[in-house]
Amino acid sequence: MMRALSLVLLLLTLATSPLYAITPEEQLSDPILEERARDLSAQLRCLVCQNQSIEDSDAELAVDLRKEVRQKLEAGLDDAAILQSLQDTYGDYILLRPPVSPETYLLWATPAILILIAGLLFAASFRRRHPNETGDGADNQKDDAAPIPADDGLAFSPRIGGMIAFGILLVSFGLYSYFGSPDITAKPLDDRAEERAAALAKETQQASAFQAQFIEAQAQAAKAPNSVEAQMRYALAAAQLNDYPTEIGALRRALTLTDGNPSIKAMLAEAMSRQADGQIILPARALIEEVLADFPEEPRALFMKGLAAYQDEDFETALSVWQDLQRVAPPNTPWGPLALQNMQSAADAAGIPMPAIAPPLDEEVLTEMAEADEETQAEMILSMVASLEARLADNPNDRQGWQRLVRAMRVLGDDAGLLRALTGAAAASPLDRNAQLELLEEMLGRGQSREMITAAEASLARLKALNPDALEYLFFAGHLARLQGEIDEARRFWQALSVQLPDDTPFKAQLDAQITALQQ
Amino acid sequence: MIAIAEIGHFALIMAFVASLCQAGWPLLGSRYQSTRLMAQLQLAAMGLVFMSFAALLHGFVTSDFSIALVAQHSHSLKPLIYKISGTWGNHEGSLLLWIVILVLFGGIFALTSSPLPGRFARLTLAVQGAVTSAFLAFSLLTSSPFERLADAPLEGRGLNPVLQDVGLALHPPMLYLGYVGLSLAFSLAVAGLLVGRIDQAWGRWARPWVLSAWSALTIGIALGSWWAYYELGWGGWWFWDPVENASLMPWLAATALMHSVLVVEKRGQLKSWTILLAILSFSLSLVGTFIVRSGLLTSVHSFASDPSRGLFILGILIAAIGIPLTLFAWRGPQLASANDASLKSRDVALVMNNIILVIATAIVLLGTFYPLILELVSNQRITVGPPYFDATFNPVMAFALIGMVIGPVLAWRRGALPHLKSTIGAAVMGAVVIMVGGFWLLGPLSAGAIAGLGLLGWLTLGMLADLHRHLKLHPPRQRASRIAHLVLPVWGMWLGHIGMAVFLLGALGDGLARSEVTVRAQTGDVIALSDRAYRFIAIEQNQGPNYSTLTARLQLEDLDGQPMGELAPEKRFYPAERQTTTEAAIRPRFSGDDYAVLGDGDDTIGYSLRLYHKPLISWIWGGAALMALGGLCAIGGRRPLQATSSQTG
Amino acid sequence: MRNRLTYIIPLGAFLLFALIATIALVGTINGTRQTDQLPSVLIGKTAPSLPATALSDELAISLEELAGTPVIVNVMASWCAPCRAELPALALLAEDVPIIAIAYKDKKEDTAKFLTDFGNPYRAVWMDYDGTTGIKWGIYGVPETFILDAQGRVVLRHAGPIFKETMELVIRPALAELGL
Repeated sequence: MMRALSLVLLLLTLATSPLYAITPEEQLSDPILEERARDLSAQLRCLVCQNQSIEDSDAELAVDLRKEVRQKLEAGLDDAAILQSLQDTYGDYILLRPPVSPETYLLWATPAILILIAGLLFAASFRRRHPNETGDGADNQKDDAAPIPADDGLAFSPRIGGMIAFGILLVSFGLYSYFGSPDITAKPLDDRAEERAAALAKETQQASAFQAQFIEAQAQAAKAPNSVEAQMRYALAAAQLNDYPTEIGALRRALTLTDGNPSIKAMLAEAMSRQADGQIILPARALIEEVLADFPEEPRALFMKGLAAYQDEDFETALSVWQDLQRVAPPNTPWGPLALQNMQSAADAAGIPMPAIAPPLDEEVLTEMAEADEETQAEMILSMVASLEARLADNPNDRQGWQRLVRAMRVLGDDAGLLRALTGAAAASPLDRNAQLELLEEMLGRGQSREMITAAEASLARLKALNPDALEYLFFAGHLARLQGEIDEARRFWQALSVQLPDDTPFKAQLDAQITALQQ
Repeated sequence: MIAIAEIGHFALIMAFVASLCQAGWPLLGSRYQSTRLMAQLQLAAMGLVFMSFAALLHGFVTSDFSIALVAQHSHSLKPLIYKISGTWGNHEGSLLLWIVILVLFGGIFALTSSPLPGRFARLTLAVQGAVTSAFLAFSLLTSSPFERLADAPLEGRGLNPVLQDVGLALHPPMLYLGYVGLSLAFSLAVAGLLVGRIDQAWGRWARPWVLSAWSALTIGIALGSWWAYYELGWGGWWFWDPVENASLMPWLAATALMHSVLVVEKRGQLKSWTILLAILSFSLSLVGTFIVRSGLLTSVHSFASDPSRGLFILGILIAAIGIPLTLFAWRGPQLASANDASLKSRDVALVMNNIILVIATAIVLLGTFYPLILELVSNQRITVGPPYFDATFNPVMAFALIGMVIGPVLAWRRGALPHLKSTIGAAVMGAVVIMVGGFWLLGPLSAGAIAGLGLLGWLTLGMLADLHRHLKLHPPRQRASRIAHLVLPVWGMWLGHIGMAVFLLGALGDGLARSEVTVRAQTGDVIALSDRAYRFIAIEQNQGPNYSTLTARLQLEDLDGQPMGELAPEKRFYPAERQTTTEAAIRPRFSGDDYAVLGDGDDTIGYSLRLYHKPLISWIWGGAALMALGGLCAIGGRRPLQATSSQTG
Repeated sequence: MRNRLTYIIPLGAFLLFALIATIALVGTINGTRQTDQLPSVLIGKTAPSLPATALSDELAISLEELAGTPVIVNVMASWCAPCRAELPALALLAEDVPIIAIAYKDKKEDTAKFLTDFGNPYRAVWMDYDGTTGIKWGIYGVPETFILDAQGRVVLRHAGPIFKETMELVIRPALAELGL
């Protein structure tokens, strides 16, 4: 997939400008040299074409190679030297006549070998057979094979024919019901005049509406250069007309006016990418990272981050980012279907199954449960939990799954299970602060075990990656250090935290007390 | 109301089930066998596939963009003829066309198979059914032309402008007629192996199929080459491209088959060899049609390839070729017949012809696949281009051309016809005269060119001498009626062989005496080229049906400034596809073509013009047409299909 | 009767052919057969020289100045969309290896605009106005990426844009061999 794609891209690059083989300007003024140039060109392969010589090709590279050949001719090189020099930079591949080398011995020798073998076989077959020169030779029609007996089998009865026809029809219906799409009606163009006219009218109408909106928004933005709203309207109107430079300009002003509003920043990144034919370019990526560093759940930025990963052909990352997006995006957002579609193509490209997007709560199951008696309830939950855990073992990136497991474990009151689920959820959503915090809190509330500390460490590392100065991180890092007996470490974290806290909060007082306690 | 496309889809599925039935029926006990039933199944499959193709055609003609294929490859503004040809201007549609021709041949066979022994006809139909069902499965499972769009777009995505061309509209159907026509020789051969017996009658049954397929293949290849000549715009006509090679290989094998079938029919010999050739010819057709679609080899001519589709194709190819060859390894030895011919006989000349053609096929096969093999074995990348084929294929084929004069003057079984010596004498004289003449006219020539000229003389005079002897046996007054009474197959051979000479004349004329000039010119300029001159009259902008053009008007003048004609090369811009194409202007004459191409430029810097004079080049295609005509002639004049030897023997 | 063996030859030859075709096709499908990659003749040899002109004085670091460390040379152009697409990957690489760009058949102002608009992961940018340097390097399309070892020898050439798979399967392993 990836190679196919990159090859297409490569070919696209090379096919940008059509030229028509040799142009007059390329030719050498000396007709003898020009003749030699032609001969040489016919022996050199245009590397990006299929078996075309550079003489026949209109690819950019062919033009350059023709020039190269002519420059060398003018420099006085002989034909062999020119071919050699090109062979030295491009390899044997550039020569349309494969050079004789150990790799091509077979290629060059085979025709001769075939002729030899054929000759030997031919001669042998005559020596062995002693042609009978005195034979009668009259019976040219003689046939030494027995004839094929004529038999016509069964007489064909219409009844059998009918049965077979019926059988064929039946099987075909079966297959058709699987392959066919009988519900889609034909849509010949002649029947769609109205539809086309309507679409055209709508398009024209929309275009003029967009134009009017743009003029209006432009005026507004000029009148109120410091109004964020006016700038945003202006950007939107420009975007509708695919006027990306204007859109970017307006968004930049809005961004300055709002002092770096993350949503606007994400929109700016999007506009920049649209200007680059949809590619999430480096400056846009930087913006996205800025947004997500502070607001890991900004949906537009998340969407773009996924798209960037997708464009890098890092489909797993794209999938997991978009999965995050599915979770944080409010239901029924316009992102939903688009992101789902993207996820499907990412899953296809990566060759991994599309992760299940579970509804937030299995309403039906819960209702059913509420109606059942206690014993059945517990059984149902247990079986649900077991199947969920099995699924998560296969697909540990399913965040919704982990969260459902967390809820189920809470209902069941299974502490070990809950910790397991929280650990999984935290690992599956490294960007989700809440998931980490939930795990850490839960862990602190209960004693300590080796696995718990390991899980906590991993979770802390993720929190640190999100923001090493965040208060929560410092708090829990200190806590963990204390649990592990690294008192100095714990003190350092908490002191760093304490400095950041406002003086009059009760929590600061508590913390300072803890720090003091540590010192003993 | 159900869409016509869905009816087509259903018909295609039904055709698949029917052919599967046809393929599998002989497996039931002999109690259930009926030749008529098999023929009915074949005819049913034919009718159903025709229906299906008609449905697709209807979709293209009415621009029904709810059919994904139409939406992808058609456009409402396209001229009707290209909407029609657009049906097979893509992978899915061309595959369906391929199947249409396959069932057409099967259907004709079903209708004319009554003289054949029943079991033989049934097995032939079963093999034909197996091939048909395999390709129908391929079409339905991986390349369905009836994929539907619930949300039909309002406009199609157009057809590659390079493909909007009459030559290309006709090229695939002709080529497929040739490729697929060979399927019957194949099915007859496999049936022969299954029955375990091949007799002279087999040769008579197979011959019309081989000859018609060969003729169609000749025309198909010639059309492709003609298209490349006038459409690609650099004046070449054969490039040794993998796709071209893929069509040349079955042609070479079929040429050998056409000759060896003759030996089976006349002499009851070479049977196992002929069976092998029949299998090989169709196998090479399959390889030719499908290997370029698998992504194994790539070519400028091919449809977009899809390697995963390729695996399916490869599976079919392995079954369709491997099973018959296994049968051949098992049953072939039973077919061998004692050779009683002397070294100097037409039989042996035909064996030589076969050996040469098969070696030539092997060379093309090797040259086409060697880079792939080397890449797999040692990760080395090399190119096998025209110089390799010139150095290996041409000399080998030269021997075949030499034999074309000698073979016809030898007698069957042993000995020569009386005029062997005089014919060879004339041929040698012809060779010498033309070589010397060429040297004198054209100056120093390469060894290849001299050999080519020699062959031309050898072939032409040798064959004329043979014809002359044919007529001289009779008093002058009877000669006219004698010509009329020559049986068609003899005429066929004559036309075919003369066609080869004509082809060679064209190839040599263009190869040795072509002149060419590339200039940047302003209107009003006069550009001299060999014994003529082009006057650049004007540059114009015109509007075509779905494109706009930039047209250069060039007046061709002789050395005295007398106008000889006008050429108008164009550049076309297709807005729907956002593509530009060049249209060469050609003034074809028997003496040679004037060929002009318009390149880049504008009014200030002038326009780039490439102008050629290509002596005798049309004779290349004229020769191919003669060859094809010869092939068709050779079908006629036979006794009607009667299994005489099988009834009497 | 001729030797039975003769009749098996066609089958044998075909099976060989089928085997080769299958291997090649399976290779194409799972990506081990890289039809778009021509092996470079430069592998193991000292890299050819860079063009004479740099985009600007700050971006004029030569191969000699970087001698002693591995270097990536990226042939790119402002008119090439895949070149834009691989910039993020190059930016990641630039954290570990200096990357030198050869702007192939490009104009200074276009290259400069390209780098301001889309980001600049390059330590140096050299202008190959007429493509002659490109031919010296044996390129057959843009983008192409060369990895040079500390001695200035070419160890790898990749044609086409770099995405994650190429990065992990081709580029990173090659850099790892150079100790990066």
